[in-house]
Amino acid sequence: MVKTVPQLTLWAVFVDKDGDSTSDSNPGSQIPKEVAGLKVRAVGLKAGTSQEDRIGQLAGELAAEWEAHPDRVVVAWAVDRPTGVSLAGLDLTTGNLLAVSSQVAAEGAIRALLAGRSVASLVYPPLFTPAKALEQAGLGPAADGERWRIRVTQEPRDQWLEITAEGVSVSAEGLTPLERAAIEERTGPLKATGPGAGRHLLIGSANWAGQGRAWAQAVGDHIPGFTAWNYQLRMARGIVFDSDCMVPIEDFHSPVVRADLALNLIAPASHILVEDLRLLTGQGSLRDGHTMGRLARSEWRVLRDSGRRVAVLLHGTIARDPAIHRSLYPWSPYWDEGSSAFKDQMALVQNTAAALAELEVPLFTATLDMLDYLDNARWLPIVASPADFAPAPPWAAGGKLRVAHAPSSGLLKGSEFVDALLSRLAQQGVIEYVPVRGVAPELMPGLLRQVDVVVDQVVLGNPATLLIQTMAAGRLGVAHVSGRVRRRFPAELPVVEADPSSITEVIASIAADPDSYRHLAEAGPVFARRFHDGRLSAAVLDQHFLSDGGES
Amino acid sequence: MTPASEPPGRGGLGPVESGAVPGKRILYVSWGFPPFSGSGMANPLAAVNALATRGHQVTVLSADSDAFDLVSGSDWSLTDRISQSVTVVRVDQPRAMLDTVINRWSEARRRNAGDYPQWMCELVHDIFPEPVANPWAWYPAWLPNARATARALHQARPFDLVIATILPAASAGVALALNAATGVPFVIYERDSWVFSPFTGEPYPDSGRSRPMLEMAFERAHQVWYINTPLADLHRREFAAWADRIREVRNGWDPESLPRPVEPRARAGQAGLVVRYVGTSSRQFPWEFVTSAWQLARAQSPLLRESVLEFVGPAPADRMPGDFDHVTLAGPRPREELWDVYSGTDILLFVKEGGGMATSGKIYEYAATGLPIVSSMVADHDARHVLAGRPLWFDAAGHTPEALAAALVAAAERAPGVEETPAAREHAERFRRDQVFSSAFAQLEESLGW
Repeated sequence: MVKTVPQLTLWAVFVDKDGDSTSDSNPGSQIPKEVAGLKVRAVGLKAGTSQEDRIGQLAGELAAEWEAHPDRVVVAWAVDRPTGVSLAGLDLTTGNLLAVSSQVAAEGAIRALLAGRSVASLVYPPLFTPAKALEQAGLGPAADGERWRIRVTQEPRDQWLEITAEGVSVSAEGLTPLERAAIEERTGPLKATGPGAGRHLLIGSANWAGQGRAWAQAVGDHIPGFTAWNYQLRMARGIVFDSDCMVPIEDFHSPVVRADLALNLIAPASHILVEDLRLLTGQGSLRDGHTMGRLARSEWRVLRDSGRRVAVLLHGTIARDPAIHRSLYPWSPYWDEGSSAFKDQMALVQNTAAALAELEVPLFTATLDMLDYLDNARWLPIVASPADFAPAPPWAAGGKLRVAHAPSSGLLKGSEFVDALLSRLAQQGVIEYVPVRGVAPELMPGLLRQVDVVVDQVVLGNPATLLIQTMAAGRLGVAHVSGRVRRRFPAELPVVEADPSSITEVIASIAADPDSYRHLAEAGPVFARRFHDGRLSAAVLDQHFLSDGGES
Repeated sequence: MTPASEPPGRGGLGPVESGAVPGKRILYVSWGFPPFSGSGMANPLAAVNALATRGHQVTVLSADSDAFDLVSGSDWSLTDRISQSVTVVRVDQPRAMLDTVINRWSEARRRNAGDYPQWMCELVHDIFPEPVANPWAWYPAWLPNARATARALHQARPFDLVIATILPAASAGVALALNAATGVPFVIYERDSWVFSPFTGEPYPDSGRSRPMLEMAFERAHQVWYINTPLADLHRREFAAWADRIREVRNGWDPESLPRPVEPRARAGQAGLVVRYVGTSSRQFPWEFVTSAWQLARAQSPLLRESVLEFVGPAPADRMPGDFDHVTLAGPRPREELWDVYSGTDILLFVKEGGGMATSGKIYEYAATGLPIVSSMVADHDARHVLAGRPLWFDAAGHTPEALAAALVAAAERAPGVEETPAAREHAERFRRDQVFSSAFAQLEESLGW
């Protein structure tokens, strides 16, 4: 493609406070005559006018500029903050106006445009992926080869974005000129993997407890010839886990970002593991990428029809039927059918069931208690990281027993019981209570090594990530895991049973006679290594999804 | 070289320099790296070049070019100084609260009068703890991309060592993650402090988040390096269990910046001297203090009456307190013009805020010029370690405009100090950065059993 250097003009826009360009207090007095070799036109906006008037003034000046020079690209530099807001109120989607908020940005943009970059590429730089990093380092596949591309079509469609075995296409309808230009410029990764080609798994987009990343690592480590990435759509504040590709939700509204996701993450995938019905690219709607459920189902259908194999992983909450849970667990948080907690949970579960009924795909779940709610789901074990298995100090080596609990959504863990009971035991001098809040994932393995006992959930019945990490660290886990669920494990689960009625007695017993429980603490790393170090998880995915003989 | 024309995979694995033995594979994590032209760029540049000179295969992980070109500032001529054998991988820095491209501002930002909404700032800060001195710094947003990149690179071709230089602390996050996943050893090189203010020595108000992370870094690191003795000693006290892992690896001056000796310009007793402050003067720079001292000095000394005080380097122009006679802001000059700047200078001015933990990288270069240096700094400022025993050093006896003026007058009366210039230059030889790094990396290699 021949790159043409556009005609450029640079405007330095400011609020002209007093009409005196020599006055120190007037931003206009600080504007240099030239920036990056381009003469600067100072554009003063009338002080004391409304933003609407200033935007109108700017729009008029721009219209005059383009009438005189239709092909000219205007780089507008907001010299002061109010001007930035004025520029933001203009139509910045046409591709012939780049608005920036600093002199550095103006200089950089001018140099880039003069070197042949487009306004579109400055506004919408391509999505960064590990594949691009490998190419930079000269470690990717050979650079000359066919690449995945996006085709922009004129035809209006129900789905603005389509993914097929051959590539990605988007409908131009509804795209701004700038978005269209950005998408048309995109090139994707080399076609080394994809449906019918090399084997590459994409897991997305929840990454709860970092497990999306962990399963991807397990596949890459243990299935020869397979690569795997995870992708996380970051929806809210909270602890941030490692991920191969992380997109904040505020970026997800952009069709360019979502087209990028399709091009760089979906297209190269031969297999896609969808977590918790989460959207991957929001294909159904051009602008509203937030809706889950209905749109997610149409997305999976499209992906499967594209020749890619799709499976679903349900972590827990999204499928835990409150009526069933209430019948199985005496301390169920869903004990009141009339409560909003019950009703909300039931609505969620019904939506999940409807989605699964529409599309027959392999179904996995991370914890064995979920088999009470899901037919035909297979256990995909949670994966503990290498750091979780680092050598730990001897268990209960002396002194007061250190007992940790990570209070989270109290409704689901029973933290309202545990926190109070452990605090009382600490006040009585029986234990040292270590509440764990907001701990970064990097620090959790080290923290676990500093305690003796971890009390996980005592009402829900799910043996989840923290319990697995506790076992890997050789610490003693205490949780409510029913006998029915324990029998589903391939070996005896080395976790002490407790619920709100017994937790005090259990902890006191451990504190009084830790040696009686030592064998369980020591069995933890063996258990975790056997079932939760990634090998079994990779094997499950391989057997039931990834390999040619797996379920389609 | 411009952004559009930078070749991908610059340097590649390249040939090892003639005579050197094939070394180890080292990942050097430095958010800021050429073309980044901001403060602290020279140190990682010199470090990776020193490693390459020793025969190691160095891959640098840095932020992407647009982050420098469009936000923090860039100088593409600096990339010519990168050793040919070094591979630079540029990892996208999500723009977040520092996005200067208004076309890209979200609706939330437009509605917030152009400011990044606080809840979105907190989203960034949830990712990783950075010192509170940069409360809205964007660096944590870089970490997920950087971690994924380090992992992919290591998986393709394993590294033997990771060196992460901070700030930003996000660089350390990369080393920690790769070590946790693969066990590859790492060194943290703190050129600023993650937990303690180098100005006061006190913990940052927000250090409750960062201290546990630094403790973990100490526990897992092969070594932790500090840029000067006061910072090293502070951390030896605060993290005593790991004191044996702490090393001092000072900043220094680069021979490339001073390719030939700076010769004294003026004749003895000559009026109309050029007094220069070379470097970045932030909004915290004590403008009133310096300009007051200058006017006093000019009033006292016929030699200075017609002399000029010039600030060369980035400066926020609106902080100059009005117009002063014979004071000018010359703005930044490219690094390749530094020798010319020094050659046109008769007296260098070193005025630094901050306390005993700070050194200021600039003092090493000043010292190497051999020019008379006038200084004003607190009694325990670490720059005194650099200047102690140096000829042609005129230190203000007290932190008052009068004391600084007296030092300026004394320097003017001694300038150019031709007889003492060679000794002044020689005094700085020990701080040549390539020699500092050569020594540091030699001990590191030995400690690793290489």
